[in-house]
Amino acid sequence: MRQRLNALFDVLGMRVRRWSLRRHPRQRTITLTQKRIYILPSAAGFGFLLLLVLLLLLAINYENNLVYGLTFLLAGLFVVSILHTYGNLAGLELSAVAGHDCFCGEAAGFALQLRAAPGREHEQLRLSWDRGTPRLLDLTDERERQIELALPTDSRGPLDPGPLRLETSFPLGFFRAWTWIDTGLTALVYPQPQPCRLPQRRAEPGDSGTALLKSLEHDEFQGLARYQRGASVRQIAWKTYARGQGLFTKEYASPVAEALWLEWDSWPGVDTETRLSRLCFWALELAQGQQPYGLRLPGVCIEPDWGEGHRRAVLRALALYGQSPATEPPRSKMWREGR
Amino acid sequence: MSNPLLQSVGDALTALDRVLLGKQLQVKLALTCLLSQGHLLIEDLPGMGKTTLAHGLARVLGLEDQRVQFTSDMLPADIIGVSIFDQTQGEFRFHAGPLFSQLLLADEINRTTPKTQSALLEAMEEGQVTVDGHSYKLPQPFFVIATQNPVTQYGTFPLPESQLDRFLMRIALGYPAPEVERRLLAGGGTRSELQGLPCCLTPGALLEVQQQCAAVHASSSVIDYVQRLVQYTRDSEQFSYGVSPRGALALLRCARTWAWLDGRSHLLPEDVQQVLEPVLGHRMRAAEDVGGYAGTRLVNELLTRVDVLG
Amino acid sequence: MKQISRAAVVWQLLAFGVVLLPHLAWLPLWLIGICLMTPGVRLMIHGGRWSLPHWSVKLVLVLAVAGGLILTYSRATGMRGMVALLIGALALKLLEIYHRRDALVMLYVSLFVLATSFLFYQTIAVALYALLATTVIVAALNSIQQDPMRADLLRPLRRALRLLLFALPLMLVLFLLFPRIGPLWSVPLDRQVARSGLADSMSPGDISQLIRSGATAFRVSFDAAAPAPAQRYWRSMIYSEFDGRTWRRARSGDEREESGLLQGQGGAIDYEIIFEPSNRNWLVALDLPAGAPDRMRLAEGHTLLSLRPVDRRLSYRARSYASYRLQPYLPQRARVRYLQLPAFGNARSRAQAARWWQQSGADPQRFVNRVLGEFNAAFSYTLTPARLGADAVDQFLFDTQQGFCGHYAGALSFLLRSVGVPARVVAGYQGGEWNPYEQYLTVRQYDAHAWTEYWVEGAGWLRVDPTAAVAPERVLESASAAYADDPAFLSDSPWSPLRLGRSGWLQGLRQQLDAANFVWHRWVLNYQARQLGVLSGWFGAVSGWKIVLALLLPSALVLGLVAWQQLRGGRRRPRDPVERALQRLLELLAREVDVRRPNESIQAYAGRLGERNPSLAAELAAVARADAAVRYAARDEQRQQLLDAIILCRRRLRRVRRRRGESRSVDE
Repeated sequence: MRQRLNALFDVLGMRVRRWSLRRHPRQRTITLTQKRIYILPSAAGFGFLLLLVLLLLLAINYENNLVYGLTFLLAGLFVVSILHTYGNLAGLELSAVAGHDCFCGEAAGFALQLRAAPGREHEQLRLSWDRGTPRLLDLTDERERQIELALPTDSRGPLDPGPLRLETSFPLGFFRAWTWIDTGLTALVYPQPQPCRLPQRRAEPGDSGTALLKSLEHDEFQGLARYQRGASVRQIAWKTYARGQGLFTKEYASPVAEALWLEWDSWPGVDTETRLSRLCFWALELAQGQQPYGLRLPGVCIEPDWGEGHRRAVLRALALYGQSPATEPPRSKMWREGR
Repeated sequence: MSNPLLQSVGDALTALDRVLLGKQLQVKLALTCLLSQGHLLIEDLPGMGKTTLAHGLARVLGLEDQRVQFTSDMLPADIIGVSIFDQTQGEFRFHAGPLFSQLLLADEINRTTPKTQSALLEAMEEGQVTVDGHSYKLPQPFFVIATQNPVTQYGTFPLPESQLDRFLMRIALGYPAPEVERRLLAGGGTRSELQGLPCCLTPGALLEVQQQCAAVHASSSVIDYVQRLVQYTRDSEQFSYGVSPRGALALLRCARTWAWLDGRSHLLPEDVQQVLEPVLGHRMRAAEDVGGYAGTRLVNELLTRVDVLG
Repeated sequence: MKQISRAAVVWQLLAFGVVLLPHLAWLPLWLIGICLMTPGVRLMIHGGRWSLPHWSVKLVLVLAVAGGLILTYSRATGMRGMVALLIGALALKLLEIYHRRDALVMLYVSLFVLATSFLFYQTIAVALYALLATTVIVAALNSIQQDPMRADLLRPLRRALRLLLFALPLMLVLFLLFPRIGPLWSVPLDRQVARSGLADSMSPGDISQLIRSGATAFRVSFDAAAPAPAQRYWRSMIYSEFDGRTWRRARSGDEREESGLLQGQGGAIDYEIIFEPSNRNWLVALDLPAGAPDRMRLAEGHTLLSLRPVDRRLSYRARSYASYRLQPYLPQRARVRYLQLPAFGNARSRAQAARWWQQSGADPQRFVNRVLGEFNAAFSYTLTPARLGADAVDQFLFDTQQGFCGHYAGALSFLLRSVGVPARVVAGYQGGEWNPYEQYLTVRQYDAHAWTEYWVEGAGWLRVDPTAAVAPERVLESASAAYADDPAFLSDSPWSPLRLGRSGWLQGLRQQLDAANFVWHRWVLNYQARQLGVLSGWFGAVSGWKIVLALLLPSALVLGLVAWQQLRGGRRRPRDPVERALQRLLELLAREVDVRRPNESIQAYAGRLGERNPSLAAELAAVARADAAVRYAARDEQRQQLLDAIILCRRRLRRVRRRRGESRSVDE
């Protein structure tokens, strides 16, 4: 019976949720108003109603006006608490800040900013996605707070956390006020990095500079050359000269490091996800050095480069590989013109 | 204007304006940067007067200057210096590189390798260099004016974000206005005038000026405003990442100097707004175009969105 | 299962404490011990000194409490056992409250237990205390909802006060309008009310027990003027049987005796009595009640009798006639009854009566006067008479010659019966203290009195108060005045404020307190009797929709207020007067001229507006200058200047606007 009731509530809840979300298009910043806030008694509230009925019976049977009075005071409290619970959500301003990309298996963080209505306090707000642990927070001492609401991930690709549920049963727990918000936040889940060795690549004719991992040092000392007129004074091997061995110049390897290519075919006979995981690991490794590196996937080619932006582009390509373009989320946040 | 120091700095500005025609704002910003004890990054195409500005600044501030043209084959030792074995003394002697000057003009810093870049930037940050286990103090004051070609040019190593933060300001000189250019072509504002620039400040006076600038009063309203500005860059989705606390401090420092240059002993929000783009422009990155810095558009967005009064 | 905060645990303990307190008076000692022990244990656990008890310890405790309750209350009926059970359960539950749900159940039960304390006590103090206790419990309810990491003790209290403050008006509306219906099923009330008040019999020395008590017997409020003090005879019961020493009520079988025909004369007196519980059936009515109200009946000699023992405060209306003719024709059976005397004993009195009867010409009234004259001449009034042995009437009349009302009423009745005049002793109260604050009469136990009625053919029963002949001040003034010096008076309550004289502010205070109690009894505890009258007084004829309307309108008002208080958003004006003035000016400028852009400081804004409106430029510039000085240059001494500049600017703005309005109208 209870299960069936729960199922019924679930169905009803989903209906209301869908309806509510349809009514309210995505917005970056949302101020909660009565149009969005739903409120119903909680189990504790029904329990309290039962208590009120018992007290009323006591009052009636003993014709005791003081018990009547207490009953009515508590009934008034019940009614007033509706407004307090509602007020605990109303006026709250919620902004979707950003979705933070993560590696598969980690939790993707979604930054949300909550801002209290002027001169008001909000306590015990409960934020949750459909999955993941809910987050409780108070907005009492500071007016606004930014939080990171985590969502565990288990597959690579773009991640849509679904609607955000914001709920509270403060101050007395008799009522539960809640709302659903389509934040529109998304995050990208990169493949899980998998440590491995890079296979040594045979140097191919006409592909001179592609030996993998030749060196990450740019200015390796190569040897001495006899001094020639016009050579930079700074290149003179002074120590040799000081020893009276004559004037030489130091020769260095080409300071421009060779570009590395991360290749799809590096590991034959490995399934797609493992391959991506390994590429991901190496992309991260290389990004720590200062050597340019490029990425070649079937249908995707990212020219060698380096820097934070490049690293992101590579990871992004890995995350989105094989995902249909329709599901690819726009970069960062949507509805940036929402305000 | 009773402050004699302010008078001399004003003289320096006027003198510089005679050399760099039609660039009053940039000149004042550059001076602000140096008076705030920060390093300056000038980003522009070659031939826009970057070098002239640097030399001019050195002259009017009475600083000894050096110029280094950065190239791709340059090594850290080329700017820092090398230890050479002196046979007569029987010991290594440190031969200081061009870094050891009061004002270093690092031309086209993005042409050299990251390794050399970071050697310079580390020296800028720490005020000293270490060669063969010995530390050598850089002179005081020590300024670096680095110039950089726009990043789109081929064969360059753009400074990474972490290094950009070391520059207090980034400015661009830009093309001169048509009438200024006409005057320029007619023969005004040349190198010869550079030689004629007077030295307006003694090193001691410069130190004094720097102290006075740092002492400009910033009321809580202005500090709140600065905080709101940087907070906005952190919260808004338009920015890939927000301004660091160091950036916020830099903003306040430059604004103080700007206020001092205007002859005030307290900060106004306008001071902050004036130095906002040069100070924060290279510290913020727009969310959508990967690789680009926050341009004027973002700075304007910041200015118009954040309320001065809170 | 959500954990509750440490502050919440403290609130639970407090809630338990406040709920327990009113019940301490009647709970068995062993249960009180447990109730004091468990919070102590919980505190030790809370302080980290002890760990949580093992389940076996808890089991033993549960079994012990259950066993104790069964032993103590297996015979009792009613609420006592149940309340004790609930309290025991609460005490044990305290040991294991960590989760929100446990705490919730505990607090709900606490509220119920709090309500049951009203079954035992109904004073104003207890009601106020309950309000306090409710606040504590609501705070505890709030505290379990707060962040488990929060250790804020006072915050829940503030929230509780805010909630209850607005619940109070709703309570008032509901209290006034909620229809009161009779009990759905009968409930035994086992409050152990001691039997108090008049006894069923009177032997010499009985009423003197009452004189020792200052407890209130009943309160009366009159619809019209109160009768004169000498007329305030409250009859309660008739002692018709005499055995030579003790006067007593007729045995129950005889109670059915016809109370007799009454002819009221003159105006009737309507009044309301709030009768304190006595656990007996008899009630009081002013001499002489015309009929019996609901749930009562008339008993022998037109006295009022409740159908069940009065175990709770009873309020009833009655109508009496000050002058009347009762039972002008006495049936033979009744005549026999009221002439009944033991065959022997008190011979001297009988002889003396026969002598006086002859001397007064066999006229009952003259006989009575004769006796009263004797009393007046030789007898004295005292609350501590000498003990009387056998032939008590003889001893009293001829030896001691001192006593109080019972002695005189008994003796007179005896004398009347012995000469063949039907007579009886009436027991009740006489007098009462007039409370000028609320216009009512308080009659206390020490106002207990006895007098005599004798029957005269055609005239019916006539009241005669022999005490009045001995000590007229007892009747004309209050008992407290008459007895004040007597050592027996109020000897049960040596510190009673009633002992204070009749004047002085303390006396006034006492009367005011008593008046408050009276109002409390009349309007709150007994509101159901008054509800219909109150409502029809307000709304005319009471109808369903009017009630609903009356319920909804004030509720809506209160809720609107709460909503406003809860949801009022928008900007709050700054506290600082200068800032406030500045903000108002900015609002005005925004409305009248142009809005300030966010990136504009006040100086930039003023500059822009000044350029566009030269007429305002000077004033705006002054404001900007002063504002910059105060806001940015830390020149606080310029605040006054800023304020002045703002005021000037506002004035200027108004003038410009007016002129513009005029020019516009001229243009048109």
